[in-house]
Amino acid sequence: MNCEKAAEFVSALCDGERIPREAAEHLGTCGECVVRLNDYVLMGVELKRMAVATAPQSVREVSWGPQERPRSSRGQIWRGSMRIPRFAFGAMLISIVMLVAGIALTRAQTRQLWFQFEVRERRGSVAEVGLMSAEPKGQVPDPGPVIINSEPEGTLTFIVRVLESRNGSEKLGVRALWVTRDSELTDLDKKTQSSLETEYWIVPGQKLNVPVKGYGQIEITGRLLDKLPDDRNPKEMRLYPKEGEFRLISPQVLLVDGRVVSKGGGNGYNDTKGTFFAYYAPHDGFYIFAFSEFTGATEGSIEGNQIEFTLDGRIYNLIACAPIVEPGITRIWVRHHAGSRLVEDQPVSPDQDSYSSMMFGDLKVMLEHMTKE
Amino acid sequence: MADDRDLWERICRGDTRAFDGFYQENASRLNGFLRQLLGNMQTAEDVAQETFLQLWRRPNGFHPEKGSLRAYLFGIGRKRAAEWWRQRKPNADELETGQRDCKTETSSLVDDVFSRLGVDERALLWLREVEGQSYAELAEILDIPVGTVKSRLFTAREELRRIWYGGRPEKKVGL
Repeated sequence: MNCEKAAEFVSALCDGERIPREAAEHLGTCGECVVRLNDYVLMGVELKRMAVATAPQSVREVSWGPQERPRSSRGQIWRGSMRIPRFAFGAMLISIVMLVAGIALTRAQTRQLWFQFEVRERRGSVAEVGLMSAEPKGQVPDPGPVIINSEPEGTLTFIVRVLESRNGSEKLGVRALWVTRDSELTDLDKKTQSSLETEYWIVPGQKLNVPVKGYGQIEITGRLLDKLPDDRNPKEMRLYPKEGEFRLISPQVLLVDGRVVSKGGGNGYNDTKGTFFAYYAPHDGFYIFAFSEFTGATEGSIEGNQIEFTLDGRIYNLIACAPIVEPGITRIWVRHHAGSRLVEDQPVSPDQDSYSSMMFGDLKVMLEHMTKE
Repeated sequence: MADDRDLWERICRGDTRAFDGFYQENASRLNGFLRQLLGNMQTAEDVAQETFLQLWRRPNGFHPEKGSLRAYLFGIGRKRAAEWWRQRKPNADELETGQRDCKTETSSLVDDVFSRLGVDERALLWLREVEGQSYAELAEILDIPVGTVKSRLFTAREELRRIWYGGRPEKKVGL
């Protein structure tokens, strides 16, 4: 099995279909196919997001009158049609309904309900704010895993989705894994997606505690909404990130002495305190950034969506799509680390140097496990 | 499916309340789908209304054993959209060109990228990713075999990926 033959199965896998063992074995070892799967999933998520953002808040007022349909279409032996202007037809329909039935047009409200939920990690921090249809129909797509690296002991990953609604309660499907730092950290996405999904019923407004083996529990709360909230995705929709957080929105561009040397990157956000983010430039290595001084780092400046620093006499600029920190924060520290692996046990895909990428995590842990250049 | 059969039977009996419930539940979704096929919301709402009206007037075309009522509705909507284009454009080539040139109302990047796909690919991806229709339902809506659904979905995703990333994917790596 090669990538070309496996590609169609990646699409099927994305739809939750069963795929041949040979294809599955190939996908398990092929970085290119994993990237393709991630791309498909991401595109699906973005399409759903677009659909939600552009969905009309209400539908047209229509009244369905019995006079509007044939008395019986069963056994009908003759069928004809007549074309009349839509406006005239609409006026006629309204007149008939009002005259014969005496019923005024009623305002048709959209009854689309949304379930907005929060997932909190064991220390109480919000790990995800999600929004899904509260009354899903058909197969519910996998929204992709959330990966939380905020604790030095390990990584928490989970997928939460709404499966069904009944009698005011929502059925959630939850997959959650806790992977300690000394465990195999590769393919966390796939491991989470292939883990057993447990179903829970949650009553909006109440708390649901979900046990995660080796970790403790995550807490899920949620509420029903009859319209989309204005702050549907505050971390991405706001001009500035929240106070005390930094945020990277791709693509990022890295310039050296005014010349673009790398573009791409990734999305992420975290607290500014005690954390780092690193931009990987293909064939060059990692540029590690933190909002406090750390070993081997040089001070740079940050303003809005731009970071500027000087290394070996050359001026560097990292430019993101949106402001990285709130106004008022102007200092940032940066260190260059050559090589394709920043920390021990870091998964490296075969095509890592085909594109730039972004890493996020705990600064202290990263420095303790940093590889030698 | 049993719920669908019950609903359909009520609609066949002329139960306006049942049909109004079905309308309110699905109108917004159908509008969103048709907007992808027709390019603007006003036309989409017109065609959606005609679609509902057709189902209300002639519900007997639905066969519960073949798929869901919503899939049937979307199938009618798709055919209505094609008919709308045919009335405006005399041949299929122009239909395709018209679709591609048609700008949607929002200017988001995703919307822009998505609008560059062909109309069939847009319809297929929208129904699958946004509406969550199964392969069998997609086959019913689009009048194609299930195997073709699978291969066309792959082709559509690859095309979207090509446009989206311009051959240069980006990736986030978690630590």
